Amino acid sequence: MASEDSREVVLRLNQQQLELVDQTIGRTEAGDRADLFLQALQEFHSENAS
Amino acid sequence: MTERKLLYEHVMEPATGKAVELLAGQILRIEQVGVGGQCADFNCFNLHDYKEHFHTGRTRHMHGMHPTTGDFLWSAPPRDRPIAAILADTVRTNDVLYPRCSGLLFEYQFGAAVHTNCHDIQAEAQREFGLTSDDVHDSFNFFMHTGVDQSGHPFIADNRAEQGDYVEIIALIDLLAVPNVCGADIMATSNFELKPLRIAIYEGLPEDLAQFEGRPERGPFVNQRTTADLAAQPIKADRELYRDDSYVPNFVNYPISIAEVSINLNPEQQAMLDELVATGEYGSTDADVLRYVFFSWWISRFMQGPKHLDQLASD
Repeated sequence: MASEDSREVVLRLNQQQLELVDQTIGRTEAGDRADLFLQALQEFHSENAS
Repeated sequence: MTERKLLYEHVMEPATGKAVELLAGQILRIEQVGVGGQCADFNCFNLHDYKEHFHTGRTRHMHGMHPTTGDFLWSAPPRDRPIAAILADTVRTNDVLYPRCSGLLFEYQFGAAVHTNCHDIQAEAQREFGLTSDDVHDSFNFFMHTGVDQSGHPFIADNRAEQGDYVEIIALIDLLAVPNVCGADIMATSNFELKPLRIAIYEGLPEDLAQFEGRPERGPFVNQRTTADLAAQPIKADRELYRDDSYVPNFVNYPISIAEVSINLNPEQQAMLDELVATGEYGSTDADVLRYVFFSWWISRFMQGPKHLDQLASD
C-alpha cells in the first residue's frame, strides 16, 4: 500500500522474466511480486552495500 | 580392488591419431610414453549420430578453461549433455581455450605450408569412419598447459606431463573417440618435440560409472534434445545455401511482451536503493538498479551450475 512517504518504482519486465518472478514467489516467504522484489533488495543490500 | 579388463591398446606415433569406438562405460586412457611432455588433441562424436559431438564452448562454460577429474565433456546444443567424463588426470593442465592447430597457422605464422597439424591429423584419423575434414571440431587439448595474461590474451606454457602421466575419460554414451598426437613441434605446446602417446581402452567397473550418476547436469532436461527429437530435420546433403520459400518463422516465445510491475518503497528501502544507485555499478535509474538487484539476487540464491556474474565486481 502506497503512503505519503513511499516512493514508487515501476519495473518493465517481459513475460519470461515475470514467469521466473511468479515461480519464485512460491519458493520464498514473499506474498506477491512486490514483496519478492523488496526481499531481494533487502538481502542484496545487506550482502553488497558497504 | 578389481582390475579393469584391457580391451585395446595402441601407440600413436608422432603425426598420427587414432579413431576408436568407445562404448558407454568404457574408459579411454591417454598416457605419456618416452620423455613425456606431449599434448593430445581430442575429438569425439556420438557413435550413432555424428551430428552430436564434443563442444569446447559448453565444456568451458561449465567447468572453466582447464577441466580435470570429475568434469564432463559436453556435446554442442541442441544436444547439450555430458557425453563423457574425466575419471583421472595426473597432471591437471588441460585446455579448452585454444582451437586445434591447423595448416594455416603454420603457413601464416611460420611460413611452413606443409606441416603436421592437429586439424589434418584429426581429419585423417576420422576418415577411417567416413567423416570428412569439415567434420573435425574444436578439440579438447589434454596435457596442454595454458593461461590468459592480464591483457586477456591466451598463452601456452611449458608442458608439465612426465613419462607415465595419463588422463582417463569414461564414455557416458557410445562414442567415436579420436585422440591424436598434437603436431605442433615449433610451438611450446609439447616442449618443441613430438613424442608418441599410448592409448588404451578398458572395460569400466560399475564404480567408475557410478561416480557420474545422479549428477544434476545429466538431466534429463527437455532441452537436451535427442536424435529422435531432431529426426524430422534431415541432414542437409548439398553444399549450396538457398532460401526456402515455404519458410515461416517460429521463434521461441516471440513476440516478447512487456508488463509493468509497481513497487512501493518505504523510506528505509528507498535509502537502500539510493545507496546502490549511488555506486553506479548496477544501472542509472531506480528501475534499472532494482531489476539488476533482483536478478543478481536470484542468481546468487537459486541458479544451478556455474554463475556468470563478475566475482571481481562483488569483491
